[in-house]
Amino acid sequence: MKTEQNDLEHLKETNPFFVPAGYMEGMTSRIMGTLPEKPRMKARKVTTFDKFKPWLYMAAAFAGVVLLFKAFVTIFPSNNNTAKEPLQVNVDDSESVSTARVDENKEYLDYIEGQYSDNIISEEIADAE
Amino acid sequence: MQLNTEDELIQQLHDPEKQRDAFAQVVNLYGEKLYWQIRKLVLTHDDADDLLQNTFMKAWTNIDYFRGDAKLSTWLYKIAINECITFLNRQRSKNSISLDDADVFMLERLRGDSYFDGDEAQMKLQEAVLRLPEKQRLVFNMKYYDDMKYEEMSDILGTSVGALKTSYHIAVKKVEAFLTKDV
Repeated sequence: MKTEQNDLEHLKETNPFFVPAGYMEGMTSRIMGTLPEKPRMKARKVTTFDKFKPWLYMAAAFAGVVLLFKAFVTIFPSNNNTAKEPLQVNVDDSESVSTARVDENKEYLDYIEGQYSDNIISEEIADAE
Repeated sequence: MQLNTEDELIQQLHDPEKQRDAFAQVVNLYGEKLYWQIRKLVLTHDDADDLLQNTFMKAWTNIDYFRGDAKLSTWLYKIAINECITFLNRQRSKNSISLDDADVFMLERLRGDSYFDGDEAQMKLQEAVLRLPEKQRLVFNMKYYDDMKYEEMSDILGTSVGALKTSYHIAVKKVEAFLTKDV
């Protein structure tokens, strides 16, 4: 059952909340009185140094990188004794190569001599006949 | 004090020379409305007064970040409602009160407030509103007491207009049911 007393629209007509006398009238000045002053930022003149500052920082960073690289190379130098081809093996075989060549030459001379001696013998037999 | 349109006011709020005077206009324009919105949420005058000052203090501190994307009133309502919700949560945890008992605690405080002279029917209305979930209570207060447009409520609460209409409808049903319960 809905009565007039408890009807929402009826209750809306009266405001049971109230404020101290003069509260609303003095609200603005009271609140403004509690707000702090904001610090005023003075406009700063931009100097030539300010304009070049980013470039200067960039150059400094680049120099830093170069120095770091240089320091790295100095601390960890590359090993020059290491073979350029990792699979390459240094073998001193000059003696064995020359011996093989001498043997080879001797065999060739023996062969030539054999050929010529056969020819000379056969010519001599033909002459004798 | 000369009154300006909202755009002019926002422009002056960003001018260091005129900022303070412009902010005084803002307090003058929205102070009373904000007070009543806060008062209906926290119920007692002393708490509402403290929260109103906190709201304007926050607005003043952050005024340089306000770019005018939303209405000034919407921005202020948002700050005020956030302040109220934070205050109510802190008050509940400080006094070790569960969510279920929050309405009883608030009613006791309201009874002790010398700036409330409601009869039994008004007290019952407050009890009914306090029993609503937080969001429904916010929506009910904004619509019932301030007759705020759903679009503005949507901007403040970040909820769709449809959801707000449903929320208000349910809240009214609950309040009416509570008011007629024992009659």
